[in-house]
Amino acid sequence: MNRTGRIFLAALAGAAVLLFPVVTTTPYYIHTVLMVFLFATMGLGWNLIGGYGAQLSLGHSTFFAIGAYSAVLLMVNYEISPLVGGIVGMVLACGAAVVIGLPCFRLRGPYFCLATIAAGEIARILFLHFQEFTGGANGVPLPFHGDDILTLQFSSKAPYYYLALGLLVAVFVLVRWMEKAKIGRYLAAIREDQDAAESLGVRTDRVKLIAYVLSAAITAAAGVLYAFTVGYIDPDGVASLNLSIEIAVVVIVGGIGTLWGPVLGATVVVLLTELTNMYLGSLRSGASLVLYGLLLIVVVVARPKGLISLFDRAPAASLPKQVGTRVHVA
Amino acid sequence: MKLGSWLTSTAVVSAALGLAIAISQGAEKEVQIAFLNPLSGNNVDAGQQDLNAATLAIEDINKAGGIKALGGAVIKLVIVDTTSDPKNAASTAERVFSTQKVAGAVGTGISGLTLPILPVAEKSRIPIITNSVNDQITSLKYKYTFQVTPKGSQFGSTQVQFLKALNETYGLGIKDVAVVYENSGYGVSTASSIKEIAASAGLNLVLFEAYPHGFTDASSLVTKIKASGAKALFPVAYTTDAKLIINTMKQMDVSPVIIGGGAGFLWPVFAKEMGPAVNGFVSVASWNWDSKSISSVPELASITTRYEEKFGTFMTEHAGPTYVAVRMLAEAMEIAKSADPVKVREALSTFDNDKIGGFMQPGRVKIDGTGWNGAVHPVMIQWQDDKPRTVFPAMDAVRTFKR
Repeated sequence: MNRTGRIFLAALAGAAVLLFPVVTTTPYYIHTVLMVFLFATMGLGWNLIGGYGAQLSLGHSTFFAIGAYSAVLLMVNYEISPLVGGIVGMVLACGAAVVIGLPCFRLRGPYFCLATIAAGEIARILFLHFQEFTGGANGVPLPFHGDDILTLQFSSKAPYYYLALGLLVAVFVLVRWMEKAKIGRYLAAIREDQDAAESLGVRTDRVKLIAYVLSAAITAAAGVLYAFTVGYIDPDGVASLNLSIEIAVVVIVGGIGTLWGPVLGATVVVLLTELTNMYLGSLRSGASLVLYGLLLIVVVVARPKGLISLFDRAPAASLPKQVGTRVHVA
Repeated sequence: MKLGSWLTSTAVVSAALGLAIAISQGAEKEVQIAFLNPLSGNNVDAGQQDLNAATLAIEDINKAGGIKALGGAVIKLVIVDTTSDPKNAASTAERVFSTQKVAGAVGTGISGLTLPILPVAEKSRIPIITNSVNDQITSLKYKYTFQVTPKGSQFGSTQVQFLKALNETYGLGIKDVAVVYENSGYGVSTASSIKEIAASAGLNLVLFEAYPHGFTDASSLVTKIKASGAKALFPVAYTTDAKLIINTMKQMDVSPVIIGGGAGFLWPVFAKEMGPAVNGFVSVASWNWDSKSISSVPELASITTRYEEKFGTFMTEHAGPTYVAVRMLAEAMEIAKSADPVKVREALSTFDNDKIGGFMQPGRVKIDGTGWNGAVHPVMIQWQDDKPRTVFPAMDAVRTFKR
């Protein structure tokens, strides 16, 4: 296919995504694509530190929860718009990332990973513990008072869809820019060999921390949108290790350290979850989860570099190469 | 190029989506009811009991001629696995409510899964009857939410009243009590209610301690119970945790009077795991199969008998209210003479019934202004002859408490 053809096809696809909520009236389909967007966003955020920087974090649900809880609690208790509360949540998540990152980045490999799991669990327990403030295990339901942009409350799914799409596009553009910017190259250098990077003058702790903080802010923003889309949050739902793993799985399945990997991964993982649940969910044995797990294993075993590697040899697609291939450590 | 590749991938997304959309929606002549419960994950036990009950209720309704006001339409259950993850619960609810034509829904029996489903039901205008006990459920002012079971906050007062009755009858003189509870929606609401009421009942709360669901070592918890000197213990737990706590107490020779907080102390698996030692345990229950209002009415008692024949265990605390919930939806359709969810909701909002409603203690379902069955109260059971038997309050009791 020539360039014009590709652009035409791509424009068509872009129009399909934009017009999707107009064409379908079924909230579930909109909700599903919305979840793809949210997971793709979180995957892109996670990829900054987990993929480009190769620091496997399994504690990202903490930032998701901080975003979600900040916006929801500020609205429910103090009637502050989630547009403001969301920013507060992102700032708090950045703060948490600094607090977690400073000591944890002294650790490497599996030790760093374990430390993030521990930090995530501590956060979940804190959300459970301060029940006077967070509602504890009871969670916080959002009462619905009719459509209002200031409270991010809509009876239709479409506004959430466009907000999630907007967030995804913004994060995508940011990550794409970072990939090429200095920080992207520093991160790639750290991924390839942290000691070598340090010996060349890269302040690895600082670079990792910046990536981690940005990654936290992106995850928190997704958390805010999730909370208002679903209308109920509790520590087991938004601060669980499960969610942290899901975020990482999205990227690992799609292609770690690539720009399109998280988007592809989110599409596959979310749709796979929904399809297996839809067709096998009424069987009583949890067959849907078994099949879901098996498919993920197949993907990871057959394509360790992620599904995005399927497109590697397609000359026409110009899909991204591994960042590592264009590292110039100077 | 980059824009091109972005849009190309979007095409992939859209194609995958198209696949998801290709769902066949058969034209049903029957009326559908959505059944939302966890059929996988941690909470599968509860979900399975709910499913058994819902299946039996549907069979009973259809055998008796379906919905008569709708020309004998048969009811079909749309079974949906919410999984045990709140995030999935919301999206499965979204799916069933927007892709299936249902007159109403039942579920779930787990508060943490029910709460994310309620806003979806409200926005989709589908009435949902839940058998979760969390107090927040009917405080949200949702119009499409109905709660058939007692609230968690009632559990505590029933347990405390029972202890008072024990003190009076047997002169036990128990004043110091301890509460240990699972850190979940169900655990917190049940435990807090005990805390609130203990002082006014003249009890001294010497320990109030949470533990994480599925913990593997109860020794530090039991050490705290021992150190507190409590003479009575209120554990709020699911089966595995309940068994762990009790066994650890035995090993460490700690033996206060145990008054269980429902769930784990009531399920068939508890009897299976404890063996003959199960007899004598007491617990609060949101529902019990042999309460007076059920066992004194042959028609209602036969439901529990048939459940036992069909599924091999007594009808459980989760199963009973789910059975009622399905029958309530059918009854509401009779009243509304319609399967339109909005009309079914209207019929449910003033629902007052002592026939099938007799299946809930104390013999009636009466929905109040908040959507809650305000008539209901919990009961106390004691395991006797390997089954939980109702022993308190007197109006529901069929057996006497054995020391």
